[in-house]
Amino acid sequence: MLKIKELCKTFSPGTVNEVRALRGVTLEIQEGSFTAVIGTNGSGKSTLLNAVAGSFEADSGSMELFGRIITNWPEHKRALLIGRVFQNPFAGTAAGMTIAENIGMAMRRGQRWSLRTAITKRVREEISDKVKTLKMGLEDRLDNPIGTLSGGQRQALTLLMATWLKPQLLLLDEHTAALDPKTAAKVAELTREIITREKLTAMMVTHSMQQAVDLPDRIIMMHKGNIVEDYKDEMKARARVSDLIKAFERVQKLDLFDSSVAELLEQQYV
Amino acid sequence: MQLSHQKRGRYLLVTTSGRLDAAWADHFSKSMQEHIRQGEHHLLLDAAGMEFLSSAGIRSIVQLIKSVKSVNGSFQLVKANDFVKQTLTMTGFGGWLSDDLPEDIQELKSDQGIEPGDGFETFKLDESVGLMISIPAKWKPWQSFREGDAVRIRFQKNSFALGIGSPVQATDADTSMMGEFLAVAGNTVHQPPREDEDPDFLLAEKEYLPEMHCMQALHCNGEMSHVLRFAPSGKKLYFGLGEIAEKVLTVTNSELAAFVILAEIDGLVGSYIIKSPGQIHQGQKMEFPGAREWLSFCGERMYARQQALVFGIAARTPDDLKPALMSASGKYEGLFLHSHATVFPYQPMEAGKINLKDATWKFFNGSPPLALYHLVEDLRPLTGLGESAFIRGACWCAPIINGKEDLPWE
Repeated sequence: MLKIKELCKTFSPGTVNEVRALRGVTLEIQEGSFTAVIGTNGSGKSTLLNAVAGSFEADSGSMELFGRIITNWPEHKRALLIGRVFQNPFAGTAAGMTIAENIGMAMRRGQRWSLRTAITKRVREEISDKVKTLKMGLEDRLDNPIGTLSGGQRQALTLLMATWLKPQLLLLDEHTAALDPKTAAKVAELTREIITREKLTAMMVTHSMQQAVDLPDRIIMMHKGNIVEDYKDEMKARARVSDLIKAFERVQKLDLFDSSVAELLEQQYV
Repeated sequence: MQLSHQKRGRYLLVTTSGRLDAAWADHFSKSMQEHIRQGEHHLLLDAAGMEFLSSAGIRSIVQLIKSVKSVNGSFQLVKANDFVKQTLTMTGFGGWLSDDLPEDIQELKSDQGIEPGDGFETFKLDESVGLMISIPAKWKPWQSFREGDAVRIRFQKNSFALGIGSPVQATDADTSMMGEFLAVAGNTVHQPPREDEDPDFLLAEKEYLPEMHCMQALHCNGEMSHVLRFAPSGKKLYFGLGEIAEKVLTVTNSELAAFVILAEIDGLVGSYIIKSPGQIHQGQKMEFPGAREWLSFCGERMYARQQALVFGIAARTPDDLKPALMSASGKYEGLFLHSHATVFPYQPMEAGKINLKDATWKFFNGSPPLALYHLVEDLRPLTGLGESAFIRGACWCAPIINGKEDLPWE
C-alpha cells in the first residue's frame, strides 16, 4: 500500500510565481484499491501523482510504497514499481517503433537487455493474445509503427503496457481527457477491466465526475493543495455526481467567505 | 417552425408557421412558457400558417394549457387550416379551436409602451386590519444558550414568523438542530444547521399546527391589509428588497410593518447557520475564520429564476432607536429589516389581487423548498453582492398595530 505523509511542494518559492501546490497532504491507499483524485484546476491533483511518480523531489514529507520508503528514490527507480498512463496519448509510447517492439520493451521493464532477438515467435503470440483483449483489431497490426495509430488506440496500448508487468501502483493522469467521448468511455471501461482482473492498486486523476463515480472505489477531492473530501466505503457507494458537484460548490463558497464577509455578517446577523 | 408574437390588449397573439412536430415541440413549449413567465396569461395561437400538427405537438399544447389554467388564464387556437382542425377534432381536442379572434381583442398593438409609475400596483384588502407582534424568544448571536431558554411556539393559520429554532419532537428541545426558519400562514420551513441538507417543512393542514422550539423568534399574528403586485416595466427590470420594504411602509402608512413576498428571484444574497447555535454554552465571539464553521455565506447571487417566499419585518426609526433583532439597511436611511427567504422551484402565479393563503399553498403543496436564507445586504466595495432582488411577484403586507408601549423591544 501507499502511505503519503505531510507531503509539501512549492514551485518557484520566493518569487511572484510561487505556487504552493501541495500543502501537507497525508493519504493512505490500501492494497487493491482504486482511488480517483478530483479537484478544481490547480488544486494539486496532478502534482500529487507526479510527486508519487518521482517527477520532482518533494520539499518535505515522506512516501512509502509497500514498506519501502521511496521519498528519495529517483523517477527511473520508482518506475520499476509504478506504471503510468499520461493525458497525452503520444506520451508513454515510442512513435517510430512498432506495436510489438513497444510492448516488447514494456515486457522487460527493469530487466537487463542483451543483443538477442527481442520479439521471438513465442513472445509475439503472447503479445497478440493480450492485444486481442483490447478488441480493437490491433493484433493484426503488430508490425505497424505505433505513431500510425489513433490517440484512443495508443492510449489503450499504453494502458496495456503500463500494466503488463503487474505494477505495485498504477497512476492514471487524466488518461481519457484527450480522447473523443466514445473512445474515452471505451478506455475507461478497459481501465476498470484491467484493474479488476489484475487486482491493481491504482490512482486516477480525472475531470469527469461521472468517471469518478463509476470506476473507482474511493474518491478524494483536492483543493488548494489539500485533501478536502474523502469518499470511501459506504460514503463512496452513496456518492452521486450531484454530491460531488455540491462538494465543489461548497469548497468554492468557503473560499469566498473571507474576513470582509465575516464582518458583514457580524453586523447583520441579528 | 417560426413563432412571432404581438401584444393585443390583454392577449398575446402568437403567430406560427411551419410544422409543430417532435422536432419543434420542445422549442414551442419553451418559448410559450417564457411568455407565461413574463406575465402573459391569455394566449392566442394563430395557426393559419401551421402546416402540420403531430401528437408531440398536441402534447406540448396540453402542457401549455395546463400552465395557463394554473394561473387562471386562457388559451385558444384560431384560424387553423383543415388538416390541423381535423387532427384536433378527431383526437378530442376540438374545444381549443376557434375560427375568429375573441371579440374583446383590440385591433391595434397596445401595452407595448412604458407603463407609467414605479412598477408597483397596490390593492387594498382590508385597511382596518393589522398584525400583532411578539418576541417570545430573544437569543442574539452569539450569546451563550441554555437548553431551558428555548420557547415552544405553535403557529396558528394566521401566524407569520421568522427566527432560529428546531421542530418539536418527542423528546425535549434538540439544541443540536437549531437553524433558521420562517412561517407563513402557519406553514413552517426550517433549515437544519447543516451545509448540505435541504430545508424541511411542516404544513398547517387540517387539525395539525406546526410547532417549533425557538431560541429566537419574531412572531406576528393577524391579517394582511394590502397586496402589492410588481413587474418589470420600461427600464425597471427588478425590485430590491429594501425598495419593496420602503414601499410596504409607505402603503401601510406605518413605521413598523410585516410583509410576505412571493416572487420570481433575480438574485438572493444571504447566509444560513450550519452549526447549531443551541450548542454555544459560553459567550463566543464570531471572528474570522472561526465564523466559517457556524455560517454559510452564499458567495454569489443565488437562485435566479426560481421562486422566493420571504417573510420580513420592516421598521423606520431614527438611528438611535434600534428595534430588537433588526439590522440597519446601509442603502436606505432609517430602514431596519429582518427577513428570511425560502426558495421553491419556479411556478407561474396568477395576476391581480391574489389571496396569500392560496398563492403560497400552491408552492408548499408542490416541489419541496430548495434553500432557506437569512437575507443580508452586502454593500462591500467592489466585491459586494448587493441586496436580494426580485423580478415579478406579489407582496402582502400589514402595519404592526401593537401600542407604542406594548412593543416587545427591550
